[in-house]
Amino acid sequence: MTTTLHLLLLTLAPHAGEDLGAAAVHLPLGERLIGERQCNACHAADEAALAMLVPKLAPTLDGVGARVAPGWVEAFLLDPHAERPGTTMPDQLASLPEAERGTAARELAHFLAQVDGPFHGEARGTSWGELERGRRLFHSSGCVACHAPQEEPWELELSLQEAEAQRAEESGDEEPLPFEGVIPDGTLKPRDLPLDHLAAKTERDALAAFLLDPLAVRPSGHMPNMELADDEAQAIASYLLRAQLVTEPAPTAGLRVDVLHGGFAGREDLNGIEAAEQTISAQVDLSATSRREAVGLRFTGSIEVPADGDWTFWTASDDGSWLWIDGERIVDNGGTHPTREREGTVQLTAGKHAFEVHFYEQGGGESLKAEWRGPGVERQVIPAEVFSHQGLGLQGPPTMEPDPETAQRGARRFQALGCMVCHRLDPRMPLLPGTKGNATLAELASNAGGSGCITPADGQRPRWPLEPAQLEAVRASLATLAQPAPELSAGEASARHLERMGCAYCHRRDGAGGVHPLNRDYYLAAEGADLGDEGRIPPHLDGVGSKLRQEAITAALVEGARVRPYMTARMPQFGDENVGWMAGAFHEADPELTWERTLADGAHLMQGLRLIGTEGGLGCIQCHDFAGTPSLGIRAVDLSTVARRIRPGWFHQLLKSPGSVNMNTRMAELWTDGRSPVTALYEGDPEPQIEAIWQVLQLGEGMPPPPGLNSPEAAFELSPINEVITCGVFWGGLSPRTLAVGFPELVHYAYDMQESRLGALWKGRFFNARGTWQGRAGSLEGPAGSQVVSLPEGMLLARLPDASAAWPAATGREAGVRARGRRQALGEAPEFHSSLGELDIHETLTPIARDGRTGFLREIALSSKDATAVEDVVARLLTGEQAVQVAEGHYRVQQGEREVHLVLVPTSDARGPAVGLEQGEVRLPVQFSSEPVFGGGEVHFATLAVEVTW
Amino acid sequence: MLLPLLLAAAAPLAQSPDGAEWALQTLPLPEGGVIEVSALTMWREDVVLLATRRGEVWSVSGVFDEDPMDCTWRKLMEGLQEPLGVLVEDDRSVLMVQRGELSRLIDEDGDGAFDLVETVCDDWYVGGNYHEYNFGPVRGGDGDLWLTTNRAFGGQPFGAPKWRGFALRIDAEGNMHPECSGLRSPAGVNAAPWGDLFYTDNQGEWCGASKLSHLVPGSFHGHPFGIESCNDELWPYPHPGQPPNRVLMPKVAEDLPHFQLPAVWFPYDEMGRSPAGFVWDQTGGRFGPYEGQVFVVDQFAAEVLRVCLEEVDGHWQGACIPFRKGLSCGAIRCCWGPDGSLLIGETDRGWASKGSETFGLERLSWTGENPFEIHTVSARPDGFHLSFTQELAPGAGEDPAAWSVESYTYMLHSDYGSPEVDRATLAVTGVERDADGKGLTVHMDGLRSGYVHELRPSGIQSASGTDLANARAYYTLVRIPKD
Repeated sequence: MTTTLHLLLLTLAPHAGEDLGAAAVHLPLGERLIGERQCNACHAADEAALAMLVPKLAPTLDGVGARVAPGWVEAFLLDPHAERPGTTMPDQLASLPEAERGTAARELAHFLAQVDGPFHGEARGTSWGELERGRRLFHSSGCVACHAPQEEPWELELSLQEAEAQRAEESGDEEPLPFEGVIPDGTLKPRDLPLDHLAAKTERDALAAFLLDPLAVRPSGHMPNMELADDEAQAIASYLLRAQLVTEPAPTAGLRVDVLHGGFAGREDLNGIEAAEQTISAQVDLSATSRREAVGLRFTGSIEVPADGDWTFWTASDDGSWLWIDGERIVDNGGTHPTREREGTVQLTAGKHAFEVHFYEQGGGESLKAEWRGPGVERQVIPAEVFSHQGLGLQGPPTMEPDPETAQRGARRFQALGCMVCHRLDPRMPLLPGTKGNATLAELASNAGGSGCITPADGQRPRWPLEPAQLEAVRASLATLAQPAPELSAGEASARHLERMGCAYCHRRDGAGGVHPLNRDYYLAAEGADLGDEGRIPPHLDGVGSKLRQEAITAALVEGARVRPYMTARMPQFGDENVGWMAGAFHEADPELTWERTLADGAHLMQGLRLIGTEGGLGCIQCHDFAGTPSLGIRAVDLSTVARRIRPGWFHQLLKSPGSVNMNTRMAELWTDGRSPVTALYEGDPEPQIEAIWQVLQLGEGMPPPPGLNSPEAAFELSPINEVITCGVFWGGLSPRTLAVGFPELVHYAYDMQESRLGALWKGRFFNARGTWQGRAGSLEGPAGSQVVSLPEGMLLARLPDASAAWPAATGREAGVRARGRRQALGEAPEFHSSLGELDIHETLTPIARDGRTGFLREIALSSKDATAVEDVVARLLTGEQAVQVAEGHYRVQQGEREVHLVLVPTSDARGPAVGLEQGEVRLPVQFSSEPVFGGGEVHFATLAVEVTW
Repeated sequence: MLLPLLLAAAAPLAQSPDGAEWALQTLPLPEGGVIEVSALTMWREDVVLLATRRGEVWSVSGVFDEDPMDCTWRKLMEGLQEPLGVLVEDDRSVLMVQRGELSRLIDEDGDGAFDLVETVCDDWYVGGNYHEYNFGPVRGGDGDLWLTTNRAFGGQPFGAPKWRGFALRIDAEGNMHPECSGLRSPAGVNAAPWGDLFYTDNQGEWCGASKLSHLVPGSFHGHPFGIESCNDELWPYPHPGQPPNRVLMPKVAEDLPHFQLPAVWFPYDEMGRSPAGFVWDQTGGRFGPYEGQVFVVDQFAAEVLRVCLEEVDGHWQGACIPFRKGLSCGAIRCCWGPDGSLLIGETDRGWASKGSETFGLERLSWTGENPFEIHTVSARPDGFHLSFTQELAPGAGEDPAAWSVESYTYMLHSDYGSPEVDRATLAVTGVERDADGKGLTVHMDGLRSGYVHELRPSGIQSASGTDLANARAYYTLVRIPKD
């Protein structure tokens, strides 16, 4: 690799001289500058002032030797503000005599080079495809919110090489067009944290590692974690370092092939996997390797397209394959399958384009073929003569072998210059105090005309050069900070922080921020997400505390939750310590919207489900995804996540009048003149309909598929929409002889026929019988819904003279329990029949709703002709970690997070109150009655009825 | 597709496909229903009663009306666990076996739907493996109920229960008595008109070829999967012993006292792959000329096979002969309709089968046209006697050169299926024509006990000039008659 490519590292021409937006709205500029420069490290500040400033911490220097080129360190230290304008690093060498600075910088560079060094000096391999991927990711993921775009949106339509060629043709002297759009009030002036120093500073893998976990180096989160996959980080790093591109002298024929070993089923591409061998292949076929099982191939290179126009590409492969042109996936033929053909079409200009095919073979037969068709070219296997490749590499800045003695001197300087006041060399090391002998921040206010690190005495270099306006702002803020700090409201504190952390470059709230019009075209929607701006521009945050549950805000802020998969922009992760508190602040600032509800809680689930569906419902699933199943049309937010995220009052407001919540939503108003189009439910009254929908949405992932949902699972989904469904299955945790019974009230149970006992109760989705009915089947089933209540293992009944004594361990046949059968009319609830010795047991369960909870009325009828069989009979109804009596005949059992209520119906034949509570059990001693029977003898009988709700 | 019921006026028979004298009718299914027929019977005279793999029970009325396309489906029950057989007790009650129990379904109020499921016997357990099927029940000559149980294949998350791979007898009190061991995948079980029990088994490990076997109490059928259970006190017979691996079947029969050779082996792919349900023709001629013979449906090949049996020296044995191909799907159940037609219940149950469908219900009716086929095959001390459904043309089949006869047997081994081994060609030494012109006695050298004898005549025509259809028979010769 000898030739350096002349790829222009373009910084877009600034729209100079125009008023492109506000420097700050809520956060005083001076406070921002003071906080970012961590002035408090030397100038002591009280707690209140620190709370106002939220100072940014300096980068941690462990690993710096491997991360940063020694030459750059030296140059940077020598003159930080020249090397990297706007850096928040002070010019620490300013305090030294000018003649000594060069030596100091060199010694420090040698010292830092040996901190976890050495710096990697060899070139790193890359490909045009990787550069294209990085280029797209950089511009569409949201990086441009803080770092200026490196290319114009229209240039991104071209390949990188084409765009460079066009740029080279233009002289570069053109005047930038003035910006003529409207900039909404409060929009912040675009931020341009420069990246053009990177090529001199670092190398590809080090930058990729930084991108994967920027908070490890920069703990304050101002450079957030973009949740990149390994290969995405590498691609962005390669793109940002493209000034380092070196190449083999000339393109050579064929495609470069990385041969990968291993199983790759389930992958979407083969990026980021280390190659076991590398070779060249004339065409896209299997000649590159003799391996025929557990192998992957990555073809990279260029394709020479002979003419402008639409080009169709095919791959036919066993197993999966994918094809990219200029980093864009054109053919998706992924998955493990017999030879299968897939195609895609793309508009291309004549000339070279980055070409990439990935293929994998899991096992069994294998095949691979790539074909094309375009203007003047009949469909054919892509011929060898159009392929070429050029070895591409990224050659970082030179490394250096640190001289131990020089480094030693650097270590001493590191201490003497106070570097350790701000920088840690090791995360465990404490920072050194730096405030001793310096004026406090408050005292600086009265030094307004004096000299110091930003206003040096004549002839000295400032440690922090500031623009006059910045200097004025800092002075003003110092004056403010000298006064007792005001108590900031939650709203004001979060508004300032949104600007401080850069959130406001994407999100608008309280009249500040939002994506700048200059940057809007970089924010894209995934293909097919026909949602307009809502599908690509990050949402505004006005009233977000009224809208979202606090957990949902937290999830978005610090848990990486993505609810808008159709948006290419990602929600950056700034770190819990840095932004976690904002969830609470939003909730404090934004009131909960009220909603007067009238329906019995949990008793209208099936109505809600019908309303969500398309068969006689409102058809929510036409636009909204449902528990992972794509919607029938546009891909609006998944309904199964709504109740987890949204607060009830806001939901009500949204459904009642979508326009009124100012969500910038495309959601349509569902009602006409205040009446619902669905007249079969609640006489078309929207209010109870909204409530019913809200009730069923509470089930989240446990919601059954609504009527009309079209998913591969649906063919096996058992949904008791109109009547009881009964299905015999292998049930995990119970027995392979279990009956699952589902009710339209969306409460369900599993009854173990092997042991003649109720096994589990749950709500929401009943279950999906794919594992029992598809193919050879035989899977263990379980509840598809949520809120599972488990029933005690072992016998329901035992004969115990001491009702609190240890429950017999024996179960089923061993314990004398026999299944006798069940009575059940089609579509109705069953009555189970079993026996314990001579005691006959009949049991039914009927759905009920009580006190805002739903569950079952469980009725157990016992009878025997044998008087001894009914002596000392005790029923064990429920167990948990804890059981308490709430009221007479009302018990509450704790099962994990779930509280299960058990209310004894007064007609039950119990010998006194429940026992066993102290062991977390509800046991009921049974009181039998007797009456004579025809033909002689007596029958002894008792009934128990309990409501089990949760 | 609906074929006309009567094809009497169709093209000349010599050009008809084999089995064309039986018309196949595909019955309509209820809309949206997944009717993977797993149990099939007639109930209340003319009602078809069936169960499905998904645990539903359906009745179909009007199948035997003038236009069966108007038949009416009614769902009677759901929630049974993979019922794989049904036996009618009376108009209010039927028996079905589920995975975990033998059940009695009762229509208490007489409205035609079942309201009660009674547990008759659940003396066995289930290990949670998909292949733990139970087949039956059928009523034996002893009046008791018989089931067969499939061995498990793979994981048994609930443990390895006893009595997998057995024939079980359930007495009138509902108590279980294991009777025969060593079964593999016994997808069909039925009682012969004379009361003896037979079952079909599917080729695989320890089952060199699919077969129809006589369930003699105490007999061992070759598969060692479940024989550990024979140490249980419920097993009233001697333990069969561990079978030897890689030994010819006839040799195993000599060495292992309880090992039972089949009545009929079905050579793989020649005679289906997965025999399942079977019935004896007791239609009094309404299904054609094969009264007293056995019809077997095959789950893979989507065809019906024919078997004729005879008892030789205390052993039931005989020949299998192709009958009718071209069902819409592999079939596992069949039963006789009141009009002597054969109802066929179909499912591929997750295995691929021939045919265009994955489940269905079909009906095979005799057109009344007499086919020209081999009628019966029976063993002789030095050969076989074949009878035909029509008088033979003069001299037909009398030349020994018209006969190709080969014999082969199978290995008992742990491999999946056995090749046909120890193959020999038999020299036909003479052929005699019966006095009525409808039979031939074929004399040959080299009959071997414990071998399939594959008989292929060629050039045989009937007196009316028709070519012999399905001109091959596979006789499993276990006992050679002494006279």
